[in-house]
Amino acid sequence: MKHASGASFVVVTTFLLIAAGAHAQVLDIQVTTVRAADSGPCDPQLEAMRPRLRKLAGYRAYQLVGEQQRRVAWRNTEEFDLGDGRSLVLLPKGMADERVMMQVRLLEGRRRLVDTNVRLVNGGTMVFGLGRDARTADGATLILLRAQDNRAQDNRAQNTRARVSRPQDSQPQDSQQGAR
Amino acid sequence: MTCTDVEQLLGAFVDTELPPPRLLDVARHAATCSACDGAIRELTELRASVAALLESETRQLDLSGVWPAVDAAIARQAPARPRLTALRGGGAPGATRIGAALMAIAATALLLFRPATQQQPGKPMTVASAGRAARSSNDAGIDRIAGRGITMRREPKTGTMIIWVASAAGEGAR
Repeated sequence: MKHASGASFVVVTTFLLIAAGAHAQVLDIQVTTVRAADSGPCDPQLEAMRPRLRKLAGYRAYQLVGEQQRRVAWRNTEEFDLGDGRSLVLLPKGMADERVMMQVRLLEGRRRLVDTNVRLVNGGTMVFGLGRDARTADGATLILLRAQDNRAQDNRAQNTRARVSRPQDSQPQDSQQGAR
Repeated sequence: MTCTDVEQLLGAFVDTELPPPRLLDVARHAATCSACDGAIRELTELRASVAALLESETRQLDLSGVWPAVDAAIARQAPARPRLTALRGGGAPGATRIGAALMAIAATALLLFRPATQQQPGKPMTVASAGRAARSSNDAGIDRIAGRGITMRREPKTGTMIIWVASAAGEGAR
């Protein structure tokens, strides 16, 4: 009976781990485009970030232009349209030391403005700033890139669930075995 | 090998990540092509400047106050010590060690299985959540970077990095 309950626990745990593994093959990416200017109102949604943006970019007013969120597969190229003929092309390569390794390319039409390989702390945000633009005459465009791999915390949650469900999962099996 | 091929392999060439025959091909092409040779030199210089920037940031870290602060913290907690000593003296030493081991295990378990505080999978992230993320560590490292008119800045508190790209009409960085 002990063997049977142990085997059922192993089966349940294996299933949970496989499920966790299948779910883990993705990365959550958030790309937020912000227009920065010397003067003018600040978007209420960005009010909390304004001091930090001010320190980083030096502008006083920030307006949210667009926000995109996608769940992307590892080692797959993903393109985010930023408008004005610009795009952000990401290639998530993998995780190392709790950091998301990815290639990031910022394109203007076919022109490559930046091509970089970054190691961003998991769940962290980095910023690309596009300088003064002749089309808008003033200010700059900021692109906030956030990447989060949920693998670690998902696995942690699944492991916890597996531990918690152990007595419940094994008891019915035990009773069935006992009835036979 | 053409200039287009070299452009594709530029980053990997500078980082010496190419297999030796490919490395040689790029080097041979660069020896006869001034444009590609210039691009390689430019990228090498940029890489050096990134390394220098990171090094200077590391040097700027002032750790001189760490040990005095640790000493001060220990001094503040000094009145609590006699109780611990008394506990150690009064109880069995083995029991204290077992207690300490149990506490360490409990702390490790708490660390490993603490509830997730970050964004839940599937739950939409908002600008506000990005703001919360910005308050935590945003440390980013640059392994390779290519482009023209690039400047980088890092906020020391959270390590948030901004990569400025100059557009046609001039610089945006302040």
